[in-house]
Amino acid sequence: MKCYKIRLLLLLISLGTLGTGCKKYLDAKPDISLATPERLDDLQAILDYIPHMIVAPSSDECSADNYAIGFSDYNALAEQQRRLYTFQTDHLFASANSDWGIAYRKIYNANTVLDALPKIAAGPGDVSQRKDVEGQALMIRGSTLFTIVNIWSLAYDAQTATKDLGIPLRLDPEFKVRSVRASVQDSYDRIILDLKTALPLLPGIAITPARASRSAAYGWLSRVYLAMRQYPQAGLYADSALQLTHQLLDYNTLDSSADFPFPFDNPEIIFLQFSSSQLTATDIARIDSGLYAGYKANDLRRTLFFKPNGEGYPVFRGNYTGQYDQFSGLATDELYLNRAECYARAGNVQAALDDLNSLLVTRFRTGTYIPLTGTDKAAVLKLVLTERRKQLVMRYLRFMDIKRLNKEGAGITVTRILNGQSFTLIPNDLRYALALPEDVLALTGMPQNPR
Amino acid sequence: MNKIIFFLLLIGASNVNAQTHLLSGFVRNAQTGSAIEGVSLKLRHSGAFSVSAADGAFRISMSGTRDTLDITGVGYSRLSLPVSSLTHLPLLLQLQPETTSLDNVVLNTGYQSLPKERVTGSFTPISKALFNQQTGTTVLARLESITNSLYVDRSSPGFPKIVIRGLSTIQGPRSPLIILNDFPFNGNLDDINPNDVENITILKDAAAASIWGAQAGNGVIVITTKKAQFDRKTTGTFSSNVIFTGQPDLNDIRTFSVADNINVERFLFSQGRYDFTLNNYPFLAVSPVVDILQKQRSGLLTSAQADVAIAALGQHDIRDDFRKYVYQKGTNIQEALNLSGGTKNIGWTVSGGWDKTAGNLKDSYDRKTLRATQAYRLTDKLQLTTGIDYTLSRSLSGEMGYGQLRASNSLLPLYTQLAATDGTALPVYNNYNKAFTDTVYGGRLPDWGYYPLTDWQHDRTTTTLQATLLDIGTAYTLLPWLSVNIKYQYGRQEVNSTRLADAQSYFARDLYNTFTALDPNTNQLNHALPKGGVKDVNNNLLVTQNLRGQFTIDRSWGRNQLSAIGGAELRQLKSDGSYFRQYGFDNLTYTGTPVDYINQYPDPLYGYTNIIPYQDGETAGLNRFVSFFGNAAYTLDRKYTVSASGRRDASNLFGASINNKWSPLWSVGAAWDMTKENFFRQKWASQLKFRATYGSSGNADPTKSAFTTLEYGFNSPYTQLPSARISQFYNPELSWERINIFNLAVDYVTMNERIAVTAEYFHKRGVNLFGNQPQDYTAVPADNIVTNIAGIAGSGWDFSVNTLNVKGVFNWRSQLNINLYHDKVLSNNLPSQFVSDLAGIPNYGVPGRAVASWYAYQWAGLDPSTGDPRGIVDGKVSTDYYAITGENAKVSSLQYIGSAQPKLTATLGNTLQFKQITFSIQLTGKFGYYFLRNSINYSNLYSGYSNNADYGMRWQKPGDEKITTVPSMVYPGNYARDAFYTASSVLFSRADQIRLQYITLTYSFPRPSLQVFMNINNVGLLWVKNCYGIDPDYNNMLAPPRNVAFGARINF
Repeated sequence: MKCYKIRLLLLLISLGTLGTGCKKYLDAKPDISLATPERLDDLQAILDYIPHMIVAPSSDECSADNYAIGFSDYNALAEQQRRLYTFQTDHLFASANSDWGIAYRKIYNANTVLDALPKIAAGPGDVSQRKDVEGQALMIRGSTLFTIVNIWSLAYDAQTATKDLGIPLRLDPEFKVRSVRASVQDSYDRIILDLKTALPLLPGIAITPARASRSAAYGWLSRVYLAMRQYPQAGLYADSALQLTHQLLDYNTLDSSADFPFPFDNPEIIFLQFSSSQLTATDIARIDSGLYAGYKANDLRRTLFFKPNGEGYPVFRGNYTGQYDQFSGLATDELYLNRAECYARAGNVQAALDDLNSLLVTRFRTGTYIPLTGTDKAAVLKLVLTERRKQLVMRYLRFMDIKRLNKEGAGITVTRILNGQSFTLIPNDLRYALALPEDVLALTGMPQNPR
Repeated sequence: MNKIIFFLLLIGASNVNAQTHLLSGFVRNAQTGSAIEGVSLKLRHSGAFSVSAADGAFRISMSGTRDTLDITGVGYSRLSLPVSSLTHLPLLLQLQPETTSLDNVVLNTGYQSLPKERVTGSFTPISKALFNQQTGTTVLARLESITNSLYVDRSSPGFPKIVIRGLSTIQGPRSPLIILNDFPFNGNLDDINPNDVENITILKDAAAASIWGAQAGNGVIVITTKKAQFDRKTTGTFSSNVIFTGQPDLNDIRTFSVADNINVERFLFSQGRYDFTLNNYPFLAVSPVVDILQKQRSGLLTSAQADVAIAALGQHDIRDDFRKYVYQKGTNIQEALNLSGGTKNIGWTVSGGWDKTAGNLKDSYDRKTLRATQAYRLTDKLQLTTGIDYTLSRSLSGEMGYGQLRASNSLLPLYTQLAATDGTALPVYNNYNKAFTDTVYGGRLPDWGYYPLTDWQHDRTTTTLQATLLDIGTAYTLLPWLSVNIKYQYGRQEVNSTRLADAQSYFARDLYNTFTALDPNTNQLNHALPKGGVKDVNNNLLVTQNLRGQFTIDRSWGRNQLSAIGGAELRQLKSDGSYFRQYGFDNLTYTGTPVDYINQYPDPLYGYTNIIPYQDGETAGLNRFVSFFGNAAYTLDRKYTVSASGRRDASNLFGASINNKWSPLWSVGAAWDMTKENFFRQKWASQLKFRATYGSSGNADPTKSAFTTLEYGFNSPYTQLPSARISQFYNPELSWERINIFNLAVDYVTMNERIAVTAEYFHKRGVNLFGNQPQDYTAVPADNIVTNIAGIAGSGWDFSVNTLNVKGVFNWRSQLNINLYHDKVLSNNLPSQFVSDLAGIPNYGVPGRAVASWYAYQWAGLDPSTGDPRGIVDGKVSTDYYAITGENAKVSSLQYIGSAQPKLTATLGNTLQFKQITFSIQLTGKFGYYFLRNSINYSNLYSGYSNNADYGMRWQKPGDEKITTVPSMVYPGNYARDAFYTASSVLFSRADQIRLQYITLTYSFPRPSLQVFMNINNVGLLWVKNCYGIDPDYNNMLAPPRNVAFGARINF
């Protein structure tokens, strides 16, 4: 009898120890779709998350001179878009869904990967994946920091770069550390360091342009040095990228009757990146008439890039994404133009023309292209810049180009006219560094860009 | 033999030398026949004393040959009986229940049942009689108007929340824990048949609730259904009633007039608002007025013709169509049968219920419940109880109601006609321009129009729920005062939701057409989707398992009484879900057709390419809990009671950190029954008892994690490999919320038990509460992150007064509950606060203010010359809306309006009984708080998202500012101006209200025992404090319509 009682009590106690002893019981995953990043595949999955990692800000193209908007369309826009369009000095961005937020989200995701990577024990045969994941994260961080510095800081100027306000350089996911603004020089130094560190880790060509690759990192470096107006390096990195991939798409193979004529698997694409905005959207953004007039009748881009909208204005539809979203990534055409510009600036006029001609022959109706010629360095450079603008329209490069070229006296003024009222952005205006989100400034105490 | 020895010990018999005679028998409730536990039996001369056991059995040893047995049971009338050695045994003692007594009910915590006289904590029992005064199919809906310290917060439209003793959290989960038959209930409570409910107890303070640990912070509602008992005569109850529900009042939604609707569209058209769509997307739908204006502009109509056409539209009001064609009166039929009985060794109950509801929107709900419980006495010491519950419910969707029926993403114009004059369904303005889609591709596309009046018949969702709950329990009596219980509950709830949109439905036709393209070479239409319906199936299975081992001590010796429990439990919730879609579904053959999910297909209108939506997938979840608990109460001389409880919880929700997993929660309490003191012989009190407790409960949010968490979603279209989103950010300090409660109470009964009052004071302090911390989204991709940053303090009074005002042929009883509550935020370490996060948004948690409090922008009237709303910046009147609402505005610039939750809630019930007629009337009131009235937001008006009757009262010319506070209309919309006005102090009103909840009239026939009744529910508002006549509980939404029930209940 007594024995029985003791047994029952023992049962109870053992029920208890079941809980304490069985740590495993409580370590079960509460949701099958949840994971803590503890495998290399988890980290790759973060980098492959399209809605976060492929999306880039759009306010650079929105602030450039490729397009104009009609007054009634303007009135129908959201307020921040209206302010952005008219170069207002403040209240352009708010909340984590703004351009600032989506750019730094990529950086946070990359930092999460870089932070988790050393904590994952090395497994047999994962050396190359480990390097690849690290390289991808570094390239994403470097390229995204560049997009940010291009929008929210003034153009790079070697004379003032150590004093000019750069951007917060977030290098790990520890978010309790307060954001501070680095100088423009430090910002560019970090961008170049990240991209260069990524180079030896990455494969030459990735399995998809949606992933970072060495060719993409070279491409970004070329873009960065171009923005810094350090042309020899810009040319060399463009060349390095083209060594790995230099395919051009023959525009004669495309069907201009399609709404979006460019294919999803365009061989020119080196790195896929989407941008979209209400302002630059097809149908609303009327392409600058002078720019549109520059395409000759036998230039396939005249019809592949553009179509008339409902009101008869030419609008851009030549998105390299092959769909409604616009393309802000890297493609070989841009690198041909980068290299051509750098050759021209270095006085290697023939090499510049060769690059230009090999690109343009694929853009004209077969057999109608007349190769460009010239011997004058300045004239060829001008030619390159003109063709650059025509090829890279709505590619989210114009804002950078205006900023850097105005530093060299190009004198490009951007003007908006709305119902007779005009808004202008004169060369080297302080507003070329857009206003940081006011809520972020209030939380961190970071200074606003001088106005 | 052992047993007798223990009994002798138990009763502390003193006259061992005298001749003894053993009296035995059972104590029963004279009305229900059920056994009564805990009844005191005392022999007047010898002083021998005993207490009845769970099955009502008692034994008492008599010395001598004659004595008088005094029987006192809490909640029952006293009974005295002469006994002798010749008295026939067993004695069957029938006690009459006392209906006004405070101690009427046994309190159930889910772990043990306690007589009220021995508890220290704060419990609100719900009397079955009161509970059954209402009809209606759900349990919770019946609690609102009768329960002390419980009210329903309706501040977020469509999501009513039960609140017990005010808020205990700012951002954490708010729902109280629901216990059904001793274990937490995770299914759908609407599927429990109220006719099966035996008793309900609300656990309010720490001594009552902390036994439930980390889930009890918001209070606990313990629901127990009818259980098998031994030694009962076979009885049954059959009840049947029908409820008629009226139509909702569509004017509850304060919309602008048809004429204003047209005027706004005319104005926006003149401003070119629709030009972009009209010019670039001719295939997109525009409203009928815009369509006419566009035809006028392009010369297809003269201006006179356009005016006539628009005037004709203006004759119509969509609400008339809703009243005529959509809404109908609802009915609900409820039938329930309960049977029970029991022999000495076997007890049983069987019950069945059938509910059938036809809703206002032609929706239907059908529920069948079946329930059986058994109790077996296997040996003298071992009892086995089993229970099985089965619920099958099926709901079928109906039509879209007013306010739900919308165009693609805006409101339908008010003049929209749903039916032609002959009643045939008309297509309404929705996604695409019907004139365009009817003609594109030579008119070869199938009809793309949306016909709301008939579409619902082709697009219906059926939800079937099957729930099974199996209970098995054993109780083994080791010693007369010590038993061991093992309980196991297995619950399985399977919900299947099937949406079948047949080939005629808009949903299926829209998809079919979207994946249609014209091949320019062959001039053929290519369809990527098969013709036919679309079937979406969603299956969810939830399996819960609970295992509890518990010992129970219930011992009295000498002047001492000890009741204690202790044990451990394991709990697991496992959910599995799957969802899939079939295209080209054929109702007759019940088959779908495979489709290509890989390739892109061009859209015939936009020209984008799309992939056929792939809607198949699976989900799985697993929550596990391990808990240890203990609770003990010791009573001396039946006067002084002390109690203590403790509980530790662990779960797999918080990942690895052991510290967070183990959260010990405890309580202590004491009670003093002063009326039992010898010095206390006062006429003015038949009971005067004091109670005090202190302790903690927890509140866990199962959705939060302290670790970087990935959520795997779809495969990347580029790599075809899984991709993942970071869903939670590294937040190592995250832990559970903790609520400490101090409770002080007095129970007072007087006037021959005709007046019973309980007054309780409580003070609670929430620590480690979740709060939204605004984030620098440079550092982390979120505007806010939840951290344990906040603390609150709350205190209040609960009064419950039960009186029998008039006694005799005519009886009049009243139940009054008054609950006062006041709270404030102690700390909430917000590094910075934006006024836009506070103004017009309650529950933000500003230190020093009520937990749910309203802030508003200061209002300085309308500008007399422009009608612009004016606020205050730096003490000056301003229309700089960025300065007022922007990041640099100071919180101190806001006006504090007051609490968003009531500070005083009250319910008052009166029951009048004259012979066989009983009349009950129940009032509820909420006082001392505010609500925000909806008004016009011009930005939303232009987008078509919302409109408001205030539009008609807007400022239009100088001088209007004297008669209105509605700002002038400006175009384009100014977001900051709208944000300012819609959260400005001028739009706040007191929400105080008194509501007549229900009236019930019952006639009881004595033989056979039959009751017939009528009940009117949701009778309506009697009084509101705001002068606009707005019902604050249903602000700008449809209030539930009044319903009338007729029914009968027969006992046999």
